[in-house]
Parts: sequence; structure tokens; C-alpha cells
Amino acid sequence: MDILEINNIRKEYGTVVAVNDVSFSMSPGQVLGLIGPNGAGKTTLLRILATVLRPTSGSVKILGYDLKKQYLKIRKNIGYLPDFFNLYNDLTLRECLEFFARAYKVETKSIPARIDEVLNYIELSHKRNDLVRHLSRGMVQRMGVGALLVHNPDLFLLDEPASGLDPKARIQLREILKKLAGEGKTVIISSHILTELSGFCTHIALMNDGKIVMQGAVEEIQQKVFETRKICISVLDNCEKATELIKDSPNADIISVKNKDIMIEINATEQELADLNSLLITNGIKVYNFSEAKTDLEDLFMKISSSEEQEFNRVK
Amino acid sequence: MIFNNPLIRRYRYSLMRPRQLWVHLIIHISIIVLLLYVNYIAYEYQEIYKSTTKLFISICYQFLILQVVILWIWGAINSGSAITKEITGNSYDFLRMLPLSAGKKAVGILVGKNLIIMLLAVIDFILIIIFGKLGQESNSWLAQSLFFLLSVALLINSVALLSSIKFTIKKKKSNIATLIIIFFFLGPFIIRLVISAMNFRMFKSIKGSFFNIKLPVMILSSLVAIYFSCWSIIGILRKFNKEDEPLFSRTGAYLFMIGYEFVLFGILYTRLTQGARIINYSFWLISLLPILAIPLWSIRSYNNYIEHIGLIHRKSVSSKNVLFRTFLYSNLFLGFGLFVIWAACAIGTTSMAQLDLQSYLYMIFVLLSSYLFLILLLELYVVYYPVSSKVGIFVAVIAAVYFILPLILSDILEIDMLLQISPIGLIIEMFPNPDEEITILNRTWIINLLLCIIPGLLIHKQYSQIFNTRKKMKTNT
Repeated sequence: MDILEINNIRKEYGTVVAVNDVSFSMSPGQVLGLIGPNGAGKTTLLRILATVLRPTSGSVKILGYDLKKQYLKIRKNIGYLPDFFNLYNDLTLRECLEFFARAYKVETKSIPARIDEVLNYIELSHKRNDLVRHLSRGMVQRMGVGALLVHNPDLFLLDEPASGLDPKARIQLREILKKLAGEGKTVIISSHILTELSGFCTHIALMNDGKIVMQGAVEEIQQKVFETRKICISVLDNCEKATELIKDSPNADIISVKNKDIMIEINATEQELADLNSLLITNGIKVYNFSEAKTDLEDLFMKISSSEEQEFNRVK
Repeated sequence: MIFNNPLIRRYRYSLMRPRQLWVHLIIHISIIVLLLYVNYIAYEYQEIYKSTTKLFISICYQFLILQVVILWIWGAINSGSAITKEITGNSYDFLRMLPLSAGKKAVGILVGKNLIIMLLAVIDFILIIIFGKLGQESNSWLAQSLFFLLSVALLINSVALLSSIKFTIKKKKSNIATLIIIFFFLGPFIIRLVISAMNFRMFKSIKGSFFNIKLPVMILSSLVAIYFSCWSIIGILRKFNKEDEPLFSRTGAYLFMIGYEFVLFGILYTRLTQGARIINYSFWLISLLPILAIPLWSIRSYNNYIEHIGLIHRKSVSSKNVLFRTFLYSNLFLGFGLFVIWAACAIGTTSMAQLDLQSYLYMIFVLLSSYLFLILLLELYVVYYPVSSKVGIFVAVIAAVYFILPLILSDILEIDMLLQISPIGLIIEMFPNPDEEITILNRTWIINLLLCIIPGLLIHKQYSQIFNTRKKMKTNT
């Protein structure tokens, strides 16, 4: 059974259409990265799924519950971290987590153990009796994730969780999110900082102007968008000769040449790649690295955005 | 169990830490001791009190006033700041997302935010009862006073919480500044309250009536307060469940209006049947208030109109159909509906008071023409707000001119007819004249209807644009 089913949801604010006929579904264990520029409609979509906003039209089912009619049941089973949030500054971390545990009807007897477990998970056990107001921004963000974890929801909705964090705090949060993904939790995470999502998203959906312009498994989309492969070739000497040879090969384009590293884009099978490697070696070039460079979400986003733009200009 | 409510627990943690609790208790006990000491001095050395009974009665009422300050003023500040604090502290989304019913949230905040107040109030209640008994006050009167105190506290606190949800302040203001402002305005009221405390007992002998049921006035006032508290709580629940929608649904607006008229009618019933013109006038005047206030609390925006006329998933809708459906959905239609309810009740009370119905019908018509202009101004603001946010100021200036200018002009030019163009002047003119059978109103309705033409046309223009806007959006989709 799908954990989330969205059918043609639309959110209008007067003449502005913030979310425009969006449809997709998610199976348990998927980690969906919702990417797109500011104002694309990511936050509106997440707020609708979090039952904070009502869609103008369309239907949503989360864990089989109807969003419009059974929103209280949905709230019990999801965890939503808004983009700008703060926790209760006048409570200690333990009290804060206890509050969320009771509100989400966690069994009273198991609350203390659950709190310890969550504090360990987010690595804030040593701060358990400190007031939330004494935490750094990064710690508050981790605590925000902890507040969601306390009732062990089936679906996590995280809206730009790392925005405004310093690199160290970002890495710490990323580790927690990776742990979540590793445990098979279903997560939707929005971001416009794409490196945040690399490495643990199983699926991505690109939003622009309220619409989902592309969605699917990361590899699937990579294949769809990048028909060519990026190869990094490192040589010990004869770099110029190597460049000439590559230029003469069919379907290969040189992207960059830095020192002795040549980055190429090529539409070729594995056999053809092996042939190119042999060609270089037989021509006396000492190749010490011939590897495929992995495309990350950043490249993917730029690629999709630029093709969208080209399409838009073409239609115009 | 009410104290299992997670929100109450959350406030208990944050507000009742031992240090805070002791500070509050020590301050409160100091006030009590000071109050008792001052009264003792007054009794022993100033001889203000002629007997110990009078001393005890006086202390009892002083504690009642202290209770008023605690429950009505401090409580209202606490309840009124609850949601504002959540919003300014960026924790409101967590509150909204909690899987608690709106009722649990409302109770959690009202009780939780006032935990300390409730503790201090219990201490005061005990003292009120002790000194009341020492002053030989009757149990029934003490119970009535406490019932009144609590029911009004419920009303004030629920209205404060409702307004904090409805009118959310983005910037956090200094608490001290707020308190100073409140005390600046409420100070004279509090002092007056203290002075009149001794006369409080006069209510003991006054009875009020609701239809034919006679009740002590304190009980009647308490019941009315509880009735309006219920509406306020319904409003809170609605705002928790449907935050983006206006405070009143259409059904809610009509029901509130009917309920309000019913309560007022019940209170004035026995006097109306005695044929008092002044009571009929009072009914007309007081019952007019909600038809002015409810449309303001039920405003549907122009964006709501556009969303409501959802042509996107419909096959064929004509522009005339859209215009009519917009009107039915509009704030104008609500205004008309409320006026019809008011007019029906006003006709009813006039017949009951056995007054000349035909002349009063003419008065209703004149009032309608005046009300129509005001409701058109409101609608003008609603439909032109997306065009320019300054339209609010423009409409407010026109409304102010409409209310005040005719009064000034009628005085300068000495033309009585001008006075009746202003709604204030109209109401003054309608005041029953003891020398005449019926107040004669001029044909000011003609001027009012002429005033309605321009806003009416402008509103029609905006209504007509909805069809085109939706069509454009459909094409874009």
C-alpha cells in the first residue's frame, strides 16, 4: 500500500496558483527530495501534506486517511518540521520531548525510555536538563527532528531543515537524516541546497511554478537527463596528445582540462569506453585514472532547470 | 482528567517552577497582609467601621475586587497573549499540528496559561468566604457573587484568547509597555470599582427577568455572560480548525444574530408588553449592534470569491450565473440577511409594544437605506483591496465623513434634514419624543440611495471581472 497518494491537488491564493495539479505517490521507505527554486511551491505542498493548509481542490490520502476528513488521524502519524520554527524556549529538552510524547499519546510508561532514546539519537543527551533557549541554532534544529521522532511517525515532512545552519551543524543534521533514511523511514525533504539531499534521497521531484516538472528514482532521472557519461581521465604526461586523440573519437566532448586531468562527456557503451582507454595506452599515453564521474543532484538540478528554461523560451 | 491535557502539563512545567511559584505566592500574601493591616488600622484607630461585622464585610468586598483584578485583568492578559507568544516564538505550527482536538487545545491554553492565577484565585475565594461569613453575609449572595465573578472571567478570558488567535500581532511588544498602557486606561476604572465596591450590595435586592422568569440580577447577568462565552468558545474552536476562514461561518452569523435578538428580547420582554416606547427604542438600538459587527467578523475576501467561483472543473457557466452566485456568496448578501432578521424582530417588538407599525416600518426602511450604504462601503473595501491596499483608508475616511459631516453641516446650516443623513443623527432623531406620538423622519433615504449608486456600480464592475479572471486561469492551466 502506498503511504502517500496525491491526486491533482491545487492551492490557489486568489489569482496566484501556488500548487498546480500535483499528483504523485510514495511507497514506504522512500526518501523523496523535493527540489526547486524559492517560490516553486515546495513549502505550500508540504504544509498541505502536514494538514496545516487546506488544498483548494484535489485529494490526498496519507496512510489511507483522507486529508480533509481525517486530519487528526494523519497528524498522529506524521512528523512535520516547518521551515522557520522554534521549540518551547521555557522548557528543558526532557520536558519538551515529554510534552510532544504526551500530545502524541505515546504510552505513559514508555515515555522516559523513549526520551532517552531520542536524545541519544540526536546526540543531545548531555543537554537533557538545559532549557531550549540555551541551545545553539544547530542543536534546536536537531531537537526539532527529535520532537518528531518521539512518536515514531510513519512519514516525515522536513521543510528546508538545514537552512541557516553553519557547516558543522549542517553535517551533524545530515548524519541524522542519513540515519533516518537508513532505517527505512519514509521522508519528504525539501531543499534548494542540493548537496544536502545527495547521498540519501531515493527519489526526487523537481518543482517549478507550482508544478512537478520531473519526478522518479534518482538513477532513473539521472539516466533520463544525462544521456551522456562524464569520464575523468588522468594522465602522467602527453596531455595535449591525449586531448587530440579524445577529440578525434566519435561522440566525445571535452568539458575541461586541468593540469593532467581531462574531463569528458561521452555517449558511449562500456565496450566503447574500453576501446578509448586502449587507444590512449597504445599511443603511449600513461593513463593512471579512467573513471566515471558521478553526477550529483546539483548537476541534475541545473540540467533540468536549463532544459526547462530552453523549453519555455521555445514555446514563447 | 483535565490535568492530563499535555498543554496544561507544558504550562505547568514552564510557569510553576518552584522559584516562580514562590515569588508569586510571596507577592500575593504580602498584598493580603497589607490589606488586612490597613483595614485593622482603619478599624482600630480611624474608627471608619462602626462594628466588626462591617469591617469583615468591607474586607470581603475588597477581596472580591482583588479577585476581579486577578481573574478579569491578569487572566485576560495571560489568555490574550497565548497565541501571540506562540506566533512570535515560531512554535505556532507545532501547536497547530498537535493531534489534539480544538476543544482540548482551547481548554489546555485557557487553564494552562492561568495556572498561577487559578492558584491565587483559590486562596482569595477562601478568604472571601471566610470574611463573608464573619460579616454575616448570606450564603446565597456569596454564591451569586462568586458565580458572577467566574462567569464573567470565563467570558473575558475566552474573548481574549479568541482575539489573540484572530488578531495575531507579528511583532512582540514589551510586556511592561503593554501593562502600563492597560493600567493607564483601566486605572480609573479599577479605582472607580474600588469606590463603588461598597454599593455592590445594592444588586442584592434587584431582580431581573427573562421572559416571565424572575431571577436575581447577578444570576441573570452570569447566565448571559456564560451564553456569550459559549459563542466565544465556538469561535476559538472554529479558528483552531479553520484558521484561514472568517470567524463566523454564514450559518454561525445568522444563528448568533438570532440568539442575540432572542436574549435581548427575553430580557426586555416584560417591559415591552407594558407598551413602553423607550424600551422598544432601546431594543432597536441594542439589537442593531450585531448587524454592524457581524459582517466585519465574517468578511470573505475577493480572493475567496475567485476561489469559490471555481470554473476550472465545471463545464459551462455563464457570466450572469457567476454574478448571481458571487452575490449569494458575498458579504453584501450576509448584510441583507442580518438586516432582515433584525427588521423581523424590530417589527415583532413594535407590535408587542402596541405602537403605530406603519410609521415604524418607514423608520426601518430609512435605516435600511443607511445600512445599505455602509455595507456597500465594506464590500467596496473587500473587492478593491487586491487592486490597492490603500482602499481601506479611503473607505474609512468616507465612512467617517458619512457619520460626522452631516452632523456638523446640519448645525452650521440649521437644516434638520441633514442630521438624519448621518447614522448617528438618524438614531438621535429616532429617540422617542414624549410630546409626539411618533418621530417623523425626513426623506433622507433618497440621499442614501443616491450615495449607494457609485459604490454599487464599482462593486458590480469587480464582480463581473471574476468570470474573466477564472476563464484566464482555466486557460493557463
